[in-house]
Amino acid sequence: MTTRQLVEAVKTTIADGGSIRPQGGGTKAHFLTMPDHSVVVSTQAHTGIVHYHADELVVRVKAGTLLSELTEILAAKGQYLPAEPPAYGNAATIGGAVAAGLSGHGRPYAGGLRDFVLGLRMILPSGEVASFGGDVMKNVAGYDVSRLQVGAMGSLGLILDIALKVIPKPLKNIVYNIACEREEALRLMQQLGKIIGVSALSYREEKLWVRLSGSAQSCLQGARQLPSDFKEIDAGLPQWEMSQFSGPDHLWRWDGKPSAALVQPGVIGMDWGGALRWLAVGTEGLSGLDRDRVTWVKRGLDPLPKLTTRQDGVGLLQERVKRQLDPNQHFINFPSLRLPE
Amino acid sequence: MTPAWRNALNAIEDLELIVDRARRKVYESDGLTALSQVPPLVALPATRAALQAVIKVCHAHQVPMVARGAGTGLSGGATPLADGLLVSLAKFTRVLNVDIEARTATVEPGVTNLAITEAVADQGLFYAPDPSSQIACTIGGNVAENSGGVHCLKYGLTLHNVCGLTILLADGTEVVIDREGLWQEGLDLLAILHGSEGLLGFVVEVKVRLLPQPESIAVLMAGFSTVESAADAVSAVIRAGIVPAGLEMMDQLAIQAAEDFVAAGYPRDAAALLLCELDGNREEVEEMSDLVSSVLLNAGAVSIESAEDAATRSRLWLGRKAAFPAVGRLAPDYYCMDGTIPRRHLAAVLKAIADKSVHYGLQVANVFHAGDGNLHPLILYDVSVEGQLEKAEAFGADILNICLDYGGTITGEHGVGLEKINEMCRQFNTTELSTFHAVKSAFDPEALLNPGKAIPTLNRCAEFGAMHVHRGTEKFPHLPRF
Repeated sequence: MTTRQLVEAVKTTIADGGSIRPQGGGTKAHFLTMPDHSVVVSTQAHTGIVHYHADELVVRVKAGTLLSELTEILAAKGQYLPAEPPAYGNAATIGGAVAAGLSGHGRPYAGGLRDFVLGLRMILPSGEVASFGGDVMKNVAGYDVSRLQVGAMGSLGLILDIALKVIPKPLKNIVYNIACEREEALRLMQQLGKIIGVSALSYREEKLWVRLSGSAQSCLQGARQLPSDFKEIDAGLPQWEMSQFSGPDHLWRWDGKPSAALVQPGVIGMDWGGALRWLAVGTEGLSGLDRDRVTWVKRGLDPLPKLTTRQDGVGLLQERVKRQLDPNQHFINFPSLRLPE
Repeated sequence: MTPAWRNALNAIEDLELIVDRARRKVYESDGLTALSQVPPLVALPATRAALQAVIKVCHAHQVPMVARGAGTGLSGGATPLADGLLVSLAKFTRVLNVDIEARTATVEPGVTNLAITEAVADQGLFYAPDPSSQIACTIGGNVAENSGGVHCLKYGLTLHNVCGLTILLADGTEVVIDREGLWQEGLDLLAILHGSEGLLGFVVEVKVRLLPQPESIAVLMAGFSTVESAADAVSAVIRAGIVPAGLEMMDQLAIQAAEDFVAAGYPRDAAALLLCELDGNREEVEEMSDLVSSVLLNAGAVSIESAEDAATRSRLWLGRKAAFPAVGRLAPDYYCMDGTIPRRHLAAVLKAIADKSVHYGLQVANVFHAGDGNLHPLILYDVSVEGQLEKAEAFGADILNICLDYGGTITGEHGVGLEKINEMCRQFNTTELSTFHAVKSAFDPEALLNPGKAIPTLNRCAEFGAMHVHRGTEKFPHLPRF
């Protein structure tokens, strides 16, 4: 599907008075976006690598390209996306990953997806095509509108293609796990997070997972610092799966310092060395927690718990940016939501 | 700028106002000395409450404001306005908090880049971005410019190392953006604020991420007989799966100038020189160092020297770090450019620049952050020869256009400021510029913050300026520039 066809689809939908929801594979739709009357414009047929210069650590890829396909193309050159954006299904696209702004296990150690976006081309709410950033590592011309799209969920327009910084894969990855209670898991994560070479610390289904990455030497050095009861696992780290989220209806994420005590109720999993905690608990269980640290996960749930748009300076600025960049609300709204006080 | 406005400012506590012309003149330019304007008034608030009061007064009286850190910027971002207030953040110099456990430091905007690392060095930590002016430039200015440094290929720019900002908007409203928790929900305001050149808000507090100091560092220097083989060697290093902490290139004129100036032991007859810094734990650095040596030799290096001890490492870096003043000895004036290009076009871009050098009859030396494609051509000229200044400026504009022609950008790290406002009209079309104006309106609807900089208005793309250094009389002669 060409840019021109996508522009036509956007313009037609706008002319019909619809509010556009850009969508890739739709794998994250039902828990990241609220049910509304928006019209999906799919990028799924807009696929392919625009250019890939492995020697320069830059790839530009069309939004509808499958995440799995991009991963394979990069792997063929010994490279990868360090943010490890999670795929919740085979249909997940790179455009969807960027719009959702989700980063995987490597987030605290290698950086988030936004850290690797160098530029992108998009269809603006006016129907015009615009390009921001570029294909180079260092670029400070103009506001960083391309990174603004990461996590915007398509609320500011439809992403056509994205230039990403890629990185050589670590020479070696070794994964370990140990069965433990969550209190013990958090204690270990806080302790092991300081080991050089740790590239993931994740707790789920009563197991703590540790990944070491780097040269053979540095992995070995890191491994020596692990408690002896950790078991080496002959497989990669398990990705965040949909199944993790399909169980409990009431699912919140808490994010904060890894060093924070485990006072949150209903913790069913942790990641990012303890900086991210999943809470399966009803609204009433959350009293006493900092509202800005707790966010609702399943926006697609019907009915939703009572939530309000974020009312502080950040929430108001986010709303003003949305209103300025999409004054006629041609694209979906994606406000930050909070528990009411 | 009415008497009522002045009276309102006078009533603010903890605020120093500089009225005396001789003292105001100090603020007439930033590092881009070719553009100057003595500010009608300079405000130096000592507390956040005083700064907030200043902003509110200016907002009420619709007086534009220009924020200034150390004034080391190279693109005129802090050039004063003839009809506005210059607000210096020089008194905000406190390190507010260091959280060793979370590896963050919270500092005021006037803290220098280097002071952050100095404050945490005894804990084995450091703040990674290291612009060349780091002994003087402030973290507030680093946020405004999204500053890089020689180590950003591996460690990223300011944007990648800041996890929280407190800003004051143009009406004085305080907004706290805290991302220590790593999860981003909704629009990423930190991303849009970095590199916004003081157009969106005043930075009053910065929370930065700290990294553990590497256990070991190695520096390799390799000489090449052609620029092409040096450029190919850079690609070969990356292809070998190595991301060096720093990867720098110099051309022959720059090598010779540096050698004449500081005698760093560079190969004078080499057409190009690469400096490669590797860091990590000891075994890893040894492993990488051997690998990179063989890669460089295979790629045609004619000489190679490596160092792991601090003294030899600093000698190898010395020539590169002294490259700007060294080139400054070759001619009375030089003009520093700052474009980024896709690296595969390096040889073609250098050829195009060399052709222009012949065309204008002006020499050019090239230093290059080779790892990330950021090129700093230094155009040599003599302002006392009639027409040479204009030629140098035209040459500079041509270089930026060459960068754009090869798919690059007009500024890799120095910012647009006033200097490149013209070229912004070439890099971005009307639709894109309108988007930037919409962003500006969301933060500063009345355009009171640093108006006329960074983003050109649609019908005014005419101004032009430059960083010119005349007989060593640059604004911060003690600062290394690389």
